[in-house]
Amino acid sequence: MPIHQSPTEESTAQVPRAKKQRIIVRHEKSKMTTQHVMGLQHPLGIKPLGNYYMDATRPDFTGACRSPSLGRLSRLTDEIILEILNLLSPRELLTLGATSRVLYGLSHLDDMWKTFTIDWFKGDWEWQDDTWRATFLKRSDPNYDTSTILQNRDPLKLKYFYSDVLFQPFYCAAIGMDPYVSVENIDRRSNLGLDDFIREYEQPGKPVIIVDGAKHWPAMTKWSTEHFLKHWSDSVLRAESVDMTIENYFKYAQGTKDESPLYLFDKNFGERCKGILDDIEVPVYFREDLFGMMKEQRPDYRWLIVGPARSGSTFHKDPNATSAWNAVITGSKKWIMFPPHILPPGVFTNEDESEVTSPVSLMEWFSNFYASTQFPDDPSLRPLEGICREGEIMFVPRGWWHAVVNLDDCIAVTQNYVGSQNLKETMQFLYLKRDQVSGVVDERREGLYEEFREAVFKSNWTPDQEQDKAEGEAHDTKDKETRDQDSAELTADEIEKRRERIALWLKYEEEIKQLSKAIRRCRAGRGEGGANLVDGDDEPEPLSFWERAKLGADPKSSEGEGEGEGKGEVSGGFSFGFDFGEEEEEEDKENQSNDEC
Amino acid sequence: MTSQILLTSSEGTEFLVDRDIADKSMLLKCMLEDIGDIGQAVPLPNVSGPILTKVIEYCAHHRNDPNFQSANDDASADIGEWDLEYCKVDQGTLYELILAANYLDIKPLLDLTCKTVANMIKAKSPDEIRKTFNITNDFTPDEEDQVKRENGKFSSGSSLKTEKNDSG
Repeated sequence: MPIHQSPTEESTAQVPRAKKQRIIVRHEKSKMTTQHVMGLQHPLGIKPLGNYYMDATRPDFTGACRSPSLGRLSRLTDEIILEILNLLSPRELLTLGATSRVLYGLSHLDDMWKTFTIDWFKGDWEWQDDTWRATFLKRSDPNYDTSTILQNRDPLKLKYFYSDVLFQPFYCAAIGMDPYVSVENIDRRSNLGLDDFIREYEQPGKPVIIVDGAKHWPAMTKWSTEHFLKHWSDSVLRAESVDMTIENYFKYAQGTKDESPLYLFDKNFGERCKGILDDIEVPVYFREDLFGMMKEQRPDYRWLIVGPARSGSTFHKDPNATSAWNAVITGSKKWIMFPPHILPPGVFTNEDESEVTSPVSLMEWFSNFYASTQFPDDPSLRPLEGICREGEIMFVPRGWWHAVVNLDDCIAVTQNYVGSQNLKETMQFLYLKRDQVSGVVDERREGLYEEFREAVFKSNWTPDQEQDKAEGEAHDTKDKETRDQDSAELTADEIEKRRERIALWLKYEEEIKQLSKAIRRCRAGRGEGGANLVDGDDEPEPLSFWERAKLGADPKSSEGEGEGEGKGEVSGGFSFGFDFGEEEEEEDKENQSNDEC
Repeated sequence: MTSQILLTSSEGTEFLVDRDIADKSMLLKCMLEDIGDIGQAVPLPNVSGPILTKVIEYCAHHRNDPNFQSANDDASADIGEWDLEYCKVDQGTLYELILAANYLDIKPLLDLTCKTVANMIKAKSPDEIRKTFNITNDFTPDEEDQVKRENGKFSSGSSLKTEKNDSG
């Protein structure tokens, strides 16, 4: 298992990886002893609040420096002082930092300087070891000498300044992932047949790590930091809210000490990195991708993911109820996953999961909540966990909650797809939760269901076309005439498949419409207004509790056919929730109102 | 007839407040929604009488503001006249108001008072800031030099652009 090291000059040198057979290392017990934790030194000597009580008992303790150092501001908590600091401009912050030691410490909180840098310069900056503050100052004045910051670390150490607010991010970053990586209970399979995959994992919706999934990709022998810098150094890719060159991003990734490093997650890499698509291919298990029928109109579906240790994604469900696969080329990722109906601790969501908040960063989540997921006496509530290593592919079934952390410098590729096994869930999502649809421009969200439908009904798409696409749009090089001929001449087999597909669609569509009507009836019956019964509506039999469970809808939250309250901000189309606890209560209410209908 | 609730300050003084004014405090609003009307006063042991008076004054003045919740969201926007006058208090009171607004979860008041403090910091030299807030300069002379060097030309105001949209 890769040992987490903070990025240093040495780790840069060790990046060219030997592409030999990987051996799974037996997990040893965590080396994180109390001794080690207590030895962690904040660069400015700041200690957590608890230490105050211990230090105060020592004979040489001359008292905390907070009060005189902050003057009248000491009446306020650190959190509030930081809120005030957030209102200052960079220059004012620097001036304030020159007034006293505590204010020096507070004004050094790197997260503030990260905000300044991104606000002022977007992605146009060059990372300066080892802080955003240095990066910002250098970007503002090319003649600035960043070495003075590092030189001042030791002399300006803050003795007797205790602050959880300042210590916590440092602590979370320094602890790393070591304490959290020993559990691996996700199936690991090799030589997995397609039928077996569908039967054992895709159909029931169970995660699996396909250990030989990407083994033969050219990327496995070619890709490394050096390779990227050599071939695509100037390609501009997306890192969260900013666009940056690959060269700049790697510089940042190798030098940062951020608790939550900026994460490169780009959907346009195919076009922006010439030839990169030749190095990867869609694994055989995932080639049936019905969104592919929409061709260029399909929602965002594939990403290049690059990030240093500690970068990652907090808990979420993938958009549009799609399933996903995630292939690690270099490095490794820790996965922790919960089934659709179990909300992870520390994650809050509204009724229909259109808004998901995880108030803590990834590292903080592990620090605060991970332990509570390891109930020994209730095994059914334990999450699935595993580490995905080089050449391995994680299958993420639709609707599963998941969080992912890079354990070291990691390059990966991921795609979301719609196969026959999750077609109905996606159809239902697009039909019933239109304002949570994502991956397309806002104007198309409302009608994506109909667009998809049209594509499926009209399309001459076959799985092989998807493979062509992954191999670099080879079939586009055929001239139009040839292509038209191709599409006109589907084999009998393909025609039959298409007929089946359309029949399946119509079947699901009918079921979804019934569900939608049942939901609207119940809402009307509960006097929730908005949706009126359409004249001439049939009175279909109300769906049983378990039928609704299979369809996966949360009836009390659905907006029906696009009506109902629009949720304010929607991000990433999270929604495919089904909370058994609430559902039972809901079931009773609906039974009552059904009687009244 | 609007309903009213009774609040008790830390010293035990009782304040009878209209419900819609009390609702400006998210803490009180959620509490009252959850438990409905209780017969007794709501104790606020963290807030003294004089401060509670000031807080109520703010909420009452803004009771009919349509955009109350997002009132002071914009960090760079100017403070309104009434609010400016309202904040002309001694620092002790100002900080107690911040803590009360934080505790009672009245975001516009918290934003306003924090902005006020931020404005006290702006456009001042380190010495002036120290004087304003009674901050002890606990740097040694050497350290002070080091900090000056670290801040480079920036804090003296010459080369750091003031507007983030300036080119350069």
